[in-house]
Amino acid sequence: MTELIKRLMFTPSVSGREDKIREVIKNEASPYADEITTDPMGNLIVRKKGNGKKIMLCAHMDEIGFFVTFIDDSGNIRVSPVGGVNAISASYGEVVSENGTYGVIVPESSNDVPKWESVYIDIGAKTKKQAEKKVQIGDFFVPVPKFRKLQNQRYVGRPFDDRVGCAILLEALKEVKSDNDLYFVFSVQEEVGGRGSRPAAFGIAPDIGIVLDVTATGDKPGSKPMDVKLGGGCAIKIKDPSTICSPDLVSKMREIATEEGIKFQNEMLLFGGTDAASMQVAGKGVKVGAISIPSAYIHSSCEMIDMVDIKEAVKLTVALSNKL
Amino acid sequence: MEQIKKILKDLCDGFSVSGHELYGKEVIEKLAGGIFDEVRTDNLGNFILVKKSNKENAKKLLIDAHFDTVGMMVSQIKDGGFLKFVEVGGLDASVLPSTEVIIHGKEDVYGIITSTPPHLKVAGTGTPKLEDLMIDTGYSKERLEELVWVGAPVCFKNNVDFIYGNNVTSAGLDDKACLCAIFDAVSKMDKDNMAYNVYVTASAQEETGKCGPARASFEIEPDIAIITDVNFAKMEKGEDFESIEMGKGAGIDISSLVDRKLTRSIRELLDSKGINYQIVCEPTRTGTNNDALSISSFGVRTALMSIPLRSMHTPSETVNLGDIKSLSSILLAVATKEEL
Amino acid sequence: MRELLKKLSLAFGPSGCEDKVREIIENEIKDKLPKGATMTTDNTGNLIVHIPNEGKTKLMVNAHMDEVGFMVTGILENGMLKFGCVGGIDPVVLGSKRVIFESGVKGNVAVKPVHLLTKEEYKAGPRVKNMSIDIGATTKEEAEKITFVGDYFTFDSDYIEYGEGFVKCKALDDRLGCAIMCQVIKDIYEENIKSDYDLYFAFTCREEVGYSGAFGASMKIKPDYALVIESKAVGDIYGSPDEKKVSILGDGVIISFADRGAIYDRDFVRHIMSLCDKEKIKYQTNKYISGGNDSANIQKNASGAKVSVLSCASRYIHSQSDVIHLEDFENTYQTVLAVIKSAVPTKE
Repeated sequence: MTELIKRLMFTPSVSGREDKIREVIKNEASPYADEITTDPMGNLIVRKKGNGKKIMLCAHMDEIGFFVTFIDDSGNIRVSPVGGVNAISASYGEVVSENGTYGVIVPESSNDVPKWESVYIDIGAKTKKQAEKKVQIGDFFVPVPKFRKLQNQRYVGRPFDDRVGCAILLEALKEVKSDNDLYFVFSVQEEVGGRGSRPAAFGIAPDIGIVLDVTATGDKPGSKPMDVKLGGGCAIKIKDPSTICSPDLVSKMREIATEEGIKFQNEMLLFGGTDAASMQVAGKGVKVGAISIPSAYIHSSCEMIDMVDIKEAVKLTVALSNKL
Repeated sequence: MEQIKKILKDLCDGFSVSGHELYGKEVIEKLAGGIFDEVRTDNLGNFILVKKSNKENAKKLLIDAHFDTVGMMVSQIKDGGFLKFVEVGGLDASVLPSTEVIIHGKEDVYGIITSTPPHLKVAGTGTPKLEDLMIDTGYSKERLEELVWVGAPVCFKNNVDFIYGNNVTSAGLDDKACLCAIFDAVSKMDKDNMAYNVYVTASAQEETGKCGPARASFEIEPDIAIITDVNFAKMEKGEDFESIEMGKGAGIDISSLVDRKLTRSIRELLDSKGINYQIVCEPTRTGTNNDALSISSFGVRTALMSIPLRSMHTPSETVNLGDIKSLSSILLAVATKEEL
Repeated sequence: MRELLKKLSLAFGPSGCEDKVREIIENEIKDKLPKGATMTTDNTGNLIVHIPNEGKTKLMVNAHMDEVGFMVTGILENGMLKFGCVGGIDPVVLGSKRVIFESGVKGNVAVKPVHLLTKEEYKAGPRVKNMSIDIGATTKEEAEKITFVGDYFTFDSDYIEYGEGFVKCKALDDRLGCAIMCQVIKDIYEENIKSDYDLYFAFTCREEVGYSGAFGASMKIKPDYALVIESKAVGDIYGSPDEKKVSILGDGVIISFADRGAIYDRDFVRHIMSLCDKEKIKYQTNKYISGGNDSANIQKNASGAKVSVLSCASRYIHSQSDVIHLEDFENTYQTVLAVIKSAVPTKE
């Protein structure tokens, strides 16, 4: 599974430009799917048919990054962030464009926390003309993907958010044997505000929606108070500022996890949001819950995850698909 | 008025912290029993209550008041019987210390929100931070873990008090005062005279920004909708046009997000019947369910009405019973008038 | 088309009060509707013209009818009116401007004379709270004879063509889009254009206040593609750094790739660019990501749609003096026409 996660991570695709990652996931999913469609916004919808409940399982394909907005006469490239990129982490870091052009992102001043208006990308070009040969306005850059094993079962790199969610859905798709009507949705544009999952949920109109995404942890210095720990098992979301998960679904999820002996934690997140927020208000409304993967340093270039949590998340996803 | 008092008391005793509206199912079902033909719930947690007209092909009128209230949820269970909590909806931390609450766990658990006594306080520390406050339950951690769980909803311990000047004070009058007016009005609607099939949404998650009736409208597809919510009542004298006066009747809102023609014809109707109301202006957004409802489904023609309320989002919100009565009469008049 | 632009821009139509604009549009096109076409007004007040081509890809062309404006919120004892803004207006452009009510009553935005301002007040800048409307009344009773709480009013502005190809008026945002759509509908009728698309033209309400009529319209239409015609706030004035100018007046229609509310469909954007290349229509991209418009609302509504936005660069937007360049206006119109005449884009 680490191989799959790594492959997904090394296919850069920022919000609104998910073509490449979609192809990779599609190829991976197609042997196990009854039906695969791509909707107008680009969400990949993989269906496993059944007569039971209609359940939508959702992980987002997109990642944070930058759009090129302007190239000056000396070939310096101005960008606009896509999603909540951590400015401290991105500065003085390597970036790579959609067509494989490498560069560095640099703030104008090294004293302050950089503002996006005052950073630029340097790809080594001497003139505007030279730069334009490699990069067009509207192209995207991402901080260079990384993947490295540390102690225990812990890995550091980027973007784990939310390629781990995609990998978990793919693994679950392979294992699941269920009567329920399952829609595995790989959504677009989550990082810019859950724009993809809402139309996907509107089209599918599921009874239940379950999101797989990363969450923060409370066990690092300076982290906001929360019970979730890295390596403590997958987390069952109760609330974040964008969503109160349906209480009856949450207790059902806990029940099933307990029955199956799956290690889980209670998640009350004090910041951020997921696709669950937008799915909840799609059309007539959807009952939503979320399985979260604890991750430290989210949206930085050194996101950290623990493989133990991911394995538990796969088990829970499969169990919910079968038993809900 | 006795009926209004009774409905209001029942509603305010119902537990309905935002996101947990179905906890109050019994209350709604009991109250709706003799009044509505049908009660159902949906995925978001809305109650949809239907009363049909005897008229053939009657159009659909949606009347909304949100059932949910602000509150809290348990976020961590600490030693010594203390609970960390997060707010649900917007709370004012300055009124919380020493407030009594009920945690809705396996059983109801009583607790008090912590405060630092003035004797020990460093001068000038101002409004406490929400994350510094806790709920003191008096139990041991072990016992507490059996009784409540992380995520358990918490509401203000409530007393409904009818006070001087035909006023009532209670937690959750935002927006149960309006819901009360709706129940009162619908109970008086005669099926032979009703111009519309009336769909009432006692809706979910207004306080958390999810706009319940906008979900229900995909199913109901109403021809017109009336949203009722509380609005700030004037607290001081002066030329303050952002709030309305207590005891002068319900407000009719004018905004770029309500249907102009509908609002105008409702005002004409009320003028012709001599029913009192106040005018409230919300030039851009109204900050109520009106906004998201107006753009739900294929777009909905909406009108917005309000009841003035003091001390919003505290355990002691205050409204005037006369204003509830006024809203009830307005709704009754509207439901019997064709072609608005 | 300039005559129509003038007529539409001068019409009274703040968000939620678009009836007069809609009437002008209806009258303009009711005799020019192609065979089989329908014109309807929906719940929100959106005007939707459908030129059917059954079973074909649905294209929704969209422009909003409303403009920013004001509403009376209260009347003071001295006959002055307190007000709030409808839509986003910078108070800096307000002081001393002339305003006009739907009824024709005129007035101005009164401010405290500069002599009486404290240093702090002057430095803090103008605030709507400190302004009031002077309609000439001296008592509350007088004022109440000609105005009511809840009345709308807008900037009282002229349509003026100035310099080399510039035009200024209030509400060019987005009456320019309405004018272009009217013209395109007329062209389809007069030149008997057969489009490859099942065509919908949506003139929408309430865009400026965020809760746009485009939601309801797109829920009904369920378009495959949507093309939004807008004006885009730009900062191409002397001295502003190049990377913050966004776009330049006179450099052609803006074919953007994203704004703050939506990332447009890349294939659709490229398709439009290649049409412009082919037809030799002058275009530019946006060089800064800012603003938002109905594309966001249409894109993620219902089951989603592929969206793109064509815009006309506009200076001093949301004031009594929106400024655009007539050449850009013409280029925008040409581009819309080219899209409608073109074949549905296919995936490379």
